[in-house]
Amino acid sequence: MFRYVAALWNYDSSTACDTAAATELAFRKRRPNWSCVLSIPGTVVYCERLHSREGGTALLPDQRGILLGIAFSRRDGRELTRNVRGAYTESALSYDALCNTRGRHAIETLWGSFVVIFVSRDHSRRYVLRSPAAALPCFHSQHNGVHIFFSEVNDFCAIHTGRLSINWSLIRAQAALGDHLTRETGIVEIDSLEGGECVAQIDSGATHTFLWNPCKVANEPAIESFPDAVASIRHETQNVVQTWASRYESVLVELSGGLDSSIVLSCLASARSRPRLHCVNFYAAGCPGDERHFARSMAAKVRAPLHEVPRLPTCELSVFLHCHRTARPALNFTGPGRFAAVSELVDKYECDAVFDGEFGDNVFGWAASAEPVSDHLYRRGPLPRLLTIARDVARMKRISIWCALTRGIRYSLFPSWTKGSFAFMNAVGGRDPGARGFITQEALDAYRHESERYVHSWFREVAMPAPSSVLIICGLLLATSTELHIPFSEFNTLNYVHPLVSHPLLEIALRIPGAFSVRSGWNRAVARVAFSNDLATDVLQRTCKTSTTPWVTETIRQHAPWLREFLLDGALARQGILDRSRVEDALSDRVSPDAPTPAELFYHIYIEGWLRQWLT
Amino acid sequence: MSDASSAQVRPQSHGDARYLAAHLYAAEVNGAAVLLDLLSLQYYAVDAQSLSALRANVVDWPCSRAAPHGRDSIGASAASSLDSLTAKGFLSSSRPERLFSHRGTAAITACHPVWDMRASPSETLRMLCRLLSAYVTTMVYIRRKHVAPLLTRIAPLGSIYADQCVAPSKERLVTLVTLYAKLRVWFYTAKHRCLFDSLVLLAVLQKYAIPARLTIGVSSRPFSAHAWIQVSDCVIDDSVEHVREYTPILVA
Repeated sequence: MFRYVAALWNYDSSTACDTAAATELAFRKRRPNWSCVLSIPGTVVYCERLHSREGGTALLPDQRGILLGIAFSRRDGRELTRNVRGAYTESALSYDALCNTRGRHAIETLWGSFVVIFVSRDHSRRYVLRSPAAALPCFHSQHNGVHIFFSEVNDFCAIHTGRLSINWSLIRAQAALGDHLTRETGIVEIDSLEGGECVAQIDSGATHTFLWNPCKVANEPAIESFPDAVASIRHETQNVVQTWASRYESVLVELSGGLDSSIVLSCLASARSRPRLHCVNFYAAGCPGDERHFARSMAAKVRAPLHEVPRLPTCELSVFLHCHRTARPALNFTGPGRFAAVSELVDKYECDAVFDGEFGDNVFGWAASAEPVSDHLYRRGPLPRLLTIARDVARMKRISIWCALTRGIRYSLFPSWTKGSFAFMNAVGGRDPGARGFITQEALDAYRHESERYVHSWFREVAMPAPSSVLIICGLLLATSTELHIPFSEFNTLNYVHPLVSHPLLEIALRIPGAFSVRSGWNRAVARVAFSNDLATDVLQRTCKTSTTPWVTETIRQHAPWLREFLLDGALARQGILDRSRVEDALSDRVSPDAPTPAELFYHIYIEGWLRQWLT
Repeated sequence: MSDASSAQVRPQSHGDARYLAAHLYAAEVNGAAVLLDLLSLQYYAVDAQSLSALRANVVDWPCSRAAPHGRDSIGASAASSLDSLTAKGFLSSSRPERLFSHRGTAAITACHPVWDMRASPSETLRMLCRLLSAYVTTMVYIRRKHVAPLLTRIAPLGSIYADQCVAPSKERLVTLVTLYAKLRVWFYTAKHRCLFDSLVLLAVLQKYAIPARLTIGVSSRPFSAHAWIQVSDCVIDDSVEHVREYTPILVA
C-alpha cells in the first residue's frame, strides 16, 4: 500500500501551529526515511517513497497541492503519479478548474486509486479528496486543530500520543454480518473519507461533500441496447485492466477458473505493454472445491504458465495471532490457505503485482434473485418485456416464472432493501432475518436498534438507487474499505491489484439494466457475450461457482481445539458479542440442522485476531 | 432430524449379526453418521458412541468392520446404543431385501441447459406432455410422502439396466435437459426442492429410456441434504462441484 501522512491546520491559530510543529517533529523522528513532498502554510505531506509499484506523487503547479497514489488520465490513460512536477501534471489536471469546481474536476479527468490534497488560490481553504473506487485509504483524525490524513494506521500511531479506543458498536455490527462500512472505523478516534468524498477545511472547521455518488450514477439514463452494453463493458474492462497492467513488468494472476478472473487474464494477455504473466490456481485438497480444469483451459488459451497449489485445511491458523493493525477488521476468507503460496510465487517469479477478478460478480452483474424484474419496473421499461425478464431470472435461479414475477413486484413495493447489504441479504438474498449466527441475541438486538447509524451516506443522499445496482454499490463499499486489505502482518508487502474495482468500469456497470445481465438465463450475460472469443469454451459456458465453504468448514474442524481457546477466551466473548454455547456447538462433532454454518465462524476469527492487536 | 441414540433401551442378545432395516440408508460424513428413513423421509444423526458400535456390529453399514456372523462380545455402552436403534426399528437381525444402494458412480462431468438451443415443435410437445405427467404424478406421491413407492416405480430402469444400457450421447442429453429446464420454469420452482425436481426429472428421463439414477446426498456441519440426477458419471442440471459437497446416502 502506498503510505502517506498529511497534516492540515489553520495557520492563523497558534495552538494548531504548535501542535502541527510538534507532530511533524515527532513524525520526522519516527519515520526518518520518509520524504516531505509538500510543505506550504497550513499543509505538510510526507510519503514513504516518491514512486514505487504501490503508487507515487505528482505536484500540482506552484506547489499548490499534490496527487498521491495512482492516478491515470481519463483522456489517454497516462499515469500522472510518477514523482513529477507541476508542469507535467497540468496537462491532464488543471489547477484552476480544480479550484473552480472544488475538486470535482479531478473526478472528471482522472481515475485510479488516489488522494488529492490542494489549497485554494488565497490559501484560505484546504481540500482533501479521495478518488471514487479508490483502494488507497484516506483515514482521518483530529487533535488540537490539526487534521491528520493517512493511509496506514501504524504511521498514525507513530505520532499519536493520545488514547485510542475500540468502536464496539461497529465491531458488533460487523459481527452481526450487518452494514458497518461508513465513515466510522473500528477505532473511535479515526474516521475515513469515502470514495468520491471531499473535505474542505476552512479555518478550524471542516465540511464534507460527496462529489461522486454511485447511487446517482445508477439513476442516470440506462444504456439502452444490449449490443451497446456489450461494447461498453468490453471496451472499459480492457481499458482498466490494461491501464493497470501498464505499471508492471510481471504479473501473477489469481486464476480461480471463474468468469471474472478469466476475463482479467484475457485482457492482460492482449495488453500492449505485454507484462510477463504467471497464473496461480488454488484448489481445496481433501475436500470439495477444485476448479483446476477451468483454470487449465483458460491458461492454455492465453498460453500462460499455470501453477496449481493445494489449499490445505491443515494450514496454520496461528497467523491470526499476528494480524496487521488496520483501521477496521479486515476479512479475507481463504487468506490463511493462500497468502504463503502467493508470496512464494511472487518472490520466485519476481512479480510486481498480483491481479485478481475481485468485484467481477458486481460489475458484470450477478443477480441475487429477481431484482432485474424490479429494476425493469423501476426504469419504467415496457410491460410486455417483463415476462421475458421473469423467464430469464427463472431459468437462472431455478425458480418458476410466477415466482420471479411475484418476487420482483414485491421487491418493488417494499424497497427498503435498497439501503444496504444487511437489508438486501434479508429481503433478496434469502437470509433468515431471525438468524443470529454466532452472536448473542442481545448483540443482535443492539445492532438492529442502531442499524440506521450504519446506512451509508451514499444511500441517504439518494432516495432509491436502481435495484440492480444495489449489489454493485454494496460490493464497492467492501472493495474500497479495509475488507480487502491483507489482514496478516507477515504478508503485508504483497501488492494486490483489483483492476475491476475501477471508476470508469464501475460507471458503465451501474448504468446497465439488470435485465441485460440475466439475458436468456445466463448470469453476467453482457460480459459473457463481450468476451466470448477470448475465453475458453468451458469457462464461457460455466454458470456455477465453487464454494470455499467446504474448505473453511474442514479447516475449522481440524483446528477445533485451538479455535475453542482462541474464541472462547477472546475479547468478543468477553464483550458478550459472541455466543459461547453456539461456538462450542459448532466446534463439536455433533450433527445438527439448527447450528449456524461453521464457515461463518471465520468472520469472528478475523475480528478476534484484529481485536487482540489493539487490546494488547 | 432427531438423535437416534435417545431411543428407549431394550435388552437384546448381542452375539447376532445386525443389519440396517430395509427402509433405512446410512452415510458417514466428516466423522459423524446420518441415517435416512425412506418411509418417513426423516434424517437422524448418530452420535460418536453409537457410530463406533454400528461400524463394529452392523454388517451392511457403509464402512462396516462387523463380521457376517456377529461378534461374541461388545461393550455395555455400545450394546445399549444398538439396543436403542433396534428398538426404534432401525436394525434387524436378518439381511433385508434392499431396493436401492448407497453407492453410485462418482460425478465427473455435468450437463447444463444451453438456453439458445432450439427444439422442434413436436419434440417440445412430447416433452411438455411427459413433464406434465411426471409433475402431477410426483406431486401426488410426495404429498402422501410415498417416495419409496414412487422410486420403485420410476427408478428400476436406472438401477437394473444402468450399467448395461448404452448411455445417450452428450448432445442428446443436453437437448433433453435444455427442453426440460425451459418448460419447467412455467410449472414449478426447483430451488430448495431438489428432491421433488429430481423425481420429476427422473420420471421424464425414464420415459425417454435414459438410464438415469437419483442420488440423495448428505453433508454435516451444518446438516443438509441434496438430491440430484446422474446418467453414468454425468450430473444432470447441476454442477459437479456442488454435488461433491455431499456424501451419497441413497442411489436409486
